[in-house]
This record gives sequence, structure tokens and C-alpha cells, in this order.
Amino acid sequence: MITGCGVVTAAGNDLSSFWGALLSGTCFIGPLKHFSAPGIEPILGAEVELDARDGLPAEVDTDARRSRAGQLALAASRRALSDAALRHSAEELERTGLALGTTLGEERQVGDLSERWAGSGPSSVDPGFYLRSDNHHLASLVAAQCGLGGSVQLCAAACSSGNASMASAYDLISSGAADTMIAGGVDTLTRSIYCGFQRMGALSKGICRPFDRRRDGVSFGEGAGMVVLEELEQATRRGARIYAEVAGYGMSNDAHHVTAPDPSGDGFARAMTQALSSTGLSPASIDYVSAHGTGTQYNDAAEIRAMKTVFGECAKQVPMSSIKSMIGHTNGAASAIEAVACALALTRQAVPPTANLTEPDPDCDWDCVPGKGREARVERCLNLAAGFGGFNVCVVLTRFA
Amino acid sequence: MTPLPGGRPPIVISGVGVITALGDDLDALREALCSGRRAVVASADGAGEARIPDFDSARYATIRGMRMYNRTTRLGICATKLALVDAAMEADSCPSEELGVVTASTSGHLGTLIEYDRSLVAVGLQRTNPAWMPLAIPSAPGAMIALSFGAKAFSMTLSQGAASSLDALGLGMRLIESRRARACVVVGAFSPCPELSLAASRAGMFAPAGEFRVFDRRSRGTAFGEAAAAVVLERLDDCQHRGKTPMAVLRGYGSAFATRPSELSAALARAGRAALRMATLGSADIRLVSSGANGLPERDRSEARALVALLGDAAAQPPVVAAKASLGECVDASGLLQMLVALFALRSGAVPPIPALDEPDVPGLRYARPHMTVDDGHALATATSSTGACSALVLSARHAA
Amino acid sequence: MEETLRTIIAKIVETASDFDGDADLRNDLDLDSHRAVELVFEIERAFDVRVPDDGFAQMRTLNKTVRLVERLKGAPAAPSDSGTVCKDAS
Repeated sequence: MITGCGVVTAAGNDLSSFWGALLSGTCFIGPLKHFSAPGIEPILGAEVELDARDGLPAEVDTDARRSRAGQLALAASRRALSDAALRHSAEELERTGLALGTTLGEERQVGDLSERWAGSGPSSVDPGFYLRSDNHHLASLVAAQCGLGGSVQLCAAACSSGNASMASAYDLISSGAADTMIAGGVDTLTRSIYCGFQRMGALSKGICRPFDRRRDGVSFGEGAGMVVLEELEQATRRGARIYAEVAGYGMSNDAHHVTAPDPSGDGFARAMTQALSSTGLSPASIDYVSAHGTGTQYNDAAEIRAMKTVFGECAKQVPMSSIKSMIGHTNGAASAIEAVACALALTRQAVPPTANLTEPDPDCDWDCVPGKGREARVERCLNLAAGFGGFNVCVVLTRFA
Repeated sequence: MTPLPGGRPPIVISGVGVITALGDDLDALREALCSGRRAVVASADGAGEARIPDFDSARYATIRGMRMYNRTTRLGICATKLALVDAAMEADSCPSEELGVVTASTSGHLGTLIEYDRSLVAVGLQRTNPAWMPLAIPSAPGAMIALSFGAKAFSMTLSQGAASSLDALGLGMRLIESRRARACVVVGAFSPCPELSLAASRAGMFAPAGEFRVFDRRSRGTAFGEAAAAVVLERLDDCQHRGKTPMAVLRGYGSAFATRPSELSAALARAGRAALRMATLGSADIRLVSSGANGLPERDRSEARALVALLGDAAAQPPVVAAKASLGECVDASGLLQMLVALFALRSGAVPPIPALDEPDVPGLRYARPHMTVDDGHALATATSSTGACSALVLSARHAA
Repeated sequence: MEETLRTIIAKIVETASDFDGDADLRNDLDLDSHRAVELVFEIERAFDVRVPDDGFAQMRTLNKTVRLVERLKGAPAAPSDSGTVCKDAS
């Protein structure tokens, strides 16, 4: 069960304002104030503004203070824990773990190294680099600050990391290895990803337009999303507020190409089909799909093909939208933030839109909720994510009665 | 073989592949370890490091695209090939949708990321090879391994330092149990890039040349060892159905987190108890311990104290081996190697002694000395990471009840 | 120049360098979009040219690629904006 949610995104860090912003279809992608990458001009994206309550406690060391990914992950985790109103004893904390996902972790320390290397070569490698280059130290920072004593994992699954972490957390709880898990993902804006996508022709020249005829690539955002997952009996015993149930998940790996998805959408379809069959749900019973929807020609087309394969027989098209259109593609955080959006959709009975979608692509002939969100009966959602190499994870979230 | 209690299906190892500085032949490796041979040699700057001599990936596998991959990735691919061949897993005996990969990799991508970003800074976006970017993220080595072998079930990567491969085994067990795939490769590879070795050296992690020892009062640091290891996991009935005899049964897994270095012992003991509980065994059932001791004095002490606490009255009985004293700190590959060393010992009855151990720092354990023997039974492997992750695994060789 | 291009392509698609000059790079030699970005990069570096966004579409075979590079070498200096390597990746 999801008993707590925390997000830090360009659309806000407070759940209500985040949800309100999503429903209104406001796009938070624009010129960046705090980030630049050489050779990319103008540079657009979505930035997070942390507020005072997200500040790192005094005892956190300087290295960690300088880590943007650490700040974001800790902020979202603490918000989620506070939202869940968890009051665990020391023993219960020993059975509480963390599954944190990321695409690049704290890339800044490699970035810093590159900049210093230009001046001083090997003498720019400092001792702290050993620990800081280990992405597990991000999970370690969050777990230490939150006093967690259970299994603490760092799942690297590119843009599927958020969902992969949630799947891992779900399995640890179902198998009895943990009673509570905090799960989600984090990523920052990075030079390597901006430059890499730009040179591959996959970075939008303006603002991403998922499923639009004129879509020309991805817009990036920084962010973190975390949820508190608890085993049902524990949640009800302590009177927790339950957002939604994580009913199950499906996974598939395209193993087709280093970056591009299988164009037939087979990988996406298999992940969704496995998610449905593992939970015994029919396609017709799904009320909303949170798409991967990055805004590239390839991804969106493949994703629609998958939707037709899985949902083609249904009487009505299930609404599907990409909130990346509003907060940018937050890489490892994306599917975790999208899971929070699904949890809110289930509790607030509305579906968020795909913003910037004004000229639908005839090949993307699906209800992608263009423009503004709308009220809807939402009982069951699918949250779909895809990562480089073609690792797809689809998580099923259902309303808890 | 008796089924495990609680109806959990036995998960077995049906194939193994290793590439180490002491060779890639399992029998030769076992003999080398039993005769006290050590891989760590002093390198030019005085810090010992074990490198795999003359590694040529073409000797192991001809896989398209391999020329683009870094050494760590190629090591992982080659170890995986050895394991799949050992498991008699030809393409048609396991359809690729039934094959998944779990990769232990914390720094496998790091060399590529550093080169890529350094190039962006030094010569700019236009003159940097964009094909590197997808290979510069932590999930890349695993994704390329899955791509190379057409593994279409899943490709998960865990980045947990020296605890990674035990955690990867735990994850593989859960994924096979829940039928996410019929077979799962669990692979770990470690080949430190120059910057990582330099940083570790400057952090004072390495023992001076010729002084590398573990568990000893005079231990002054560790030494890196380059290595890759892979196993194939399946359900026992699937393995037998194929006419293959399993090599080992994975009985239990546990992991915990130490919020402070002073908590490391307690956390590792907790992980060990969780693994024993899952295996429905007591500490008196353990015939051999394969520890992760690596020469860092505080870590070794914590591990030894955890074992004393865990084994209780039985502490003076099972031999405690330390594979890293021979192979070096192999980080992501080490848990798999520790498990395999335990397996060799259980099957052959010969215990590999801990080289260069004169005066154990922590009393109360039966540290492995030359000519010790062990009866077939259950073994416990333990690992900790520099970031507080603690993991434990219980296994038995094929003849154990 | 054709020899150099032939060697570069052969290395990237991992085939012998005596392939047919009219073989389709994508369909016959299995040049996928990841290798394509590498190919354009190697060509730009080897010949000091800038392949424009629509240039890649003309690189269907070795022979057509040779003609493209000849044209680019004869063209005036390209503007110094950061172009994309090819548009159909990812």
C-alpha cells in the first residue's frame, strides 16, 4: 500500500500544488536559470526550487551538501515519510528499507572532475571521489538521515529506475523481507545527457510535445519522487491513510537496440500484458495509463502501437497522458513522480493531461488528454516506463476500498 | 533433494563462469586458492592491484558491438557467456523471453562517463563521440549484457559496492520465484578505471606493497582485484526438466543497513540472521563462512564481530575463509566469487586458507588455515559496502539435504 | 577518400571491407541508429566536415556517402552552431 508520497519537481513540491498544476496543464519547461551545457543555446528544461524545509540538517557533511541529487532525494523522502506520518520504533525501522533509482546519480562530481582535469590532469582526482562516485552513497545518505535499518538498494535502470525500484520494494515486502519500504527515484540535469541527446537529435529544440505531430524530442527536468510502501496489515493497524495499492507489475526487456525502443512496441506491450496478468486485471478495467511519453518520434509511436496491441479490443480508449510535457523528463525520477500522479489520480478522481499537444499526430490516434486534465472515475492505473537498452517496467496501482 | 519448508521453490545455480587474475578455469582456480596463491602483485606506484593478464574478449565470445564497450562490460559479457555455456543454455533451450539478467555494477560505467564528459569539456559537443553517452550510465553494462544474449525478460542493475553481487543474487532469487523469467543470469564485473584507483589510493585505502593481509592485527588496507563472475539461476524443477544437474541451492538471503559505521557489526549480524531465517536454519547448521574481509581494519573488525555474534556458540567451529585475501577487493564481482569459493570448498572438502594471516585481530573465529577440511553442508557468505550496506547469503552444494 | 570511408564503415558495422559500394547501409549492412551516430561522428572527424541534419538521409550506400562527403568538402565553411548528428536516433 502507498501510505505516503513526496515529490520535488518544477511543478511544485507540495502535493496539492503539484496536483493542481498538473491538472491545469501548465508547462514548467523554459529557459534554465541554474544550468548550462556547452554548445546548447538556448537551453531549456525544468528546474526544482527547494524551500527552507528541504534544507539538509546541520550534521550532514559538506560533500553531501554539495550533492544536488542527494538534496533532491532526501527532500522527497522526508516529505513522503512526513506525509505517511510514520512513527516507527527502532525495531520497526530495522524492517524498513529503501529502494532508490537513478539514471546518473550524482553526476556533478564527474563533471567537476572534468573541469578540474582540464587544468591539472591527474592531480585533480581527490580522495573523496572514491566514495562520491559510488551512487549507493545517495541511498546511504537518505537511509542514514531517516534512520532506516532494512535493505537499502540503489537500482540503476536508466529511465525505468523509479518503477524498477518500486517493483523491487514491492517484492521485498511481499516476500516478507521488509514491512515498510521507501521507493522512488532521483535525477538532476546533467551535461552528459543534454549533450548526448542533442547530438543524437533527440533533444527538443523547444518544448517537448508528446504525441503531437510536430514533436521533435525530449525536454529534461530535474526532480525526485518517493512513496512509502507498507504491507496492508501494518498500514491498517496503525490507521494510516492509504492512497492506493500497488497491485503488481510487469517487466520486459526489448534487447533490441542500445537506445531506441523496439518500434513494434512489443516490449511496452509485454510489460503491460504481464502487469495485467500478474494482477488478474483485464485491459478494459484500466481507467488511466501514465505513459512514458518522452516526445521523441520513435518512443511515442512505439508506445501508441503498444496501446493498440493491449487495449485495441476495448470499447473505449483508456485515457493516457504524459506529465513529462509539464515537468520535463526527469529520467530516474520520472516513473516515481508519475506513480505519485497516479496515486493522486486515484484519490482525487481526475486524470492529468498531456500539455503542449495541439496538433495530434494521426498515427498517435489515442485519447492522450490534450491540454487540461479532467475529472474521471479512476479505479485502476498503469504506470509505464522504458529505459535505454529497452528495459520496460509497468506498475499497476489501484484504488484501495 | 528435500523441498524447502514453507513451499518456497528451491532456486539453484545451473552454470558458472569466472574470469579472474588467477584464471578462468574453475578447477585451476580452486587449486590455486587452496595452495595459497595470491593474485595481488605490487604495481609501479607501490599499491597492489590484481589485473587479469592478457584479457581478450574475442577468446570468449564474438558479439557484435563489443568493440564499443569498456573493459568492465566486456568482462561481464564474457563471464556471462561462460556461465550460459556451463548451464547448457543454448538459445533454443531457453527462449529469450524467459531469460533475464541482474547485474551488479557500481562503477562499471564510470570510465566511459569520465571520458565522455572530459571530452565535452575539452573539445566540445561537436567533437565528442555521441555514441558513448548511452554507455556512460550505471545501467549500461547490464543493458549491454542483456542485449548481447537477447535476454528479454528483464535487465536490472544494482549499484551497492562490495555488497552488490550478493544483493543481485537475492534479487535474482526473488525474480525467479515470482516467475518473472525461467532463468536469470546474475553477473558482476569490476575493472577500476585509473581515476577510481587513484582516488582510492589517495584516500589511503590501499595497503603498502607486500603488506596486504586481511583479518590480521597488522592489516593496513586493501588492494583492488579485477574480476568478473556470472551464474545462471533457475528453479530446481526447471533445471532437472532440462536434464541438467544443479551445482548449488540458494537457501536464504538477507540485507540490512548500518546508519553509522559503529552500527556495521550489528547490521551485518541482522542480515545474517535474516538469511538464516529464510533458509530455516540455525547458526549451528553453517559448515563454512565465506567472508568479505578485505584488509580495511575497521571493516574487517566489524565483519569478524558480526560473525562472532551471529554464530554464537558455534563460532569456533566453521572455518572462515576470505576470498579477497587471494583475489583482492573485486567490489561488484566479490559476492559472487565469495559464494563460488564456498561452493568449491563444500564440494571438494578442502578449505582454502587465508594467506598471510599471522595474528587475527578479533578472536573467537576459526580462521581458515592450511589443510583444513569441511564436511558438505551449508555455507554463509557475508559482505559489507563502504556505504553501509550489509548482505548475507546461505547456500548449499547439490548433495545437501 | 573512398578507401577511408570504406574502412570506417566496415569497422562500425563489423563487416569485411570488401562490401558492395551499392549495398544499403541500413538494410544490408545493419547500420542501426546508434552506430549511425558514431558513423557520422567518425566521418566529420576524418574529413573535417559538418554533416547537416538532412545529410544523413543521403548516406544510404557507400557510393552515395562518398558523393556527399565530396560535396561537403567542396562547400564553404559550415556555420558553427551545434548541429545534430542524425535525427532518427532514439
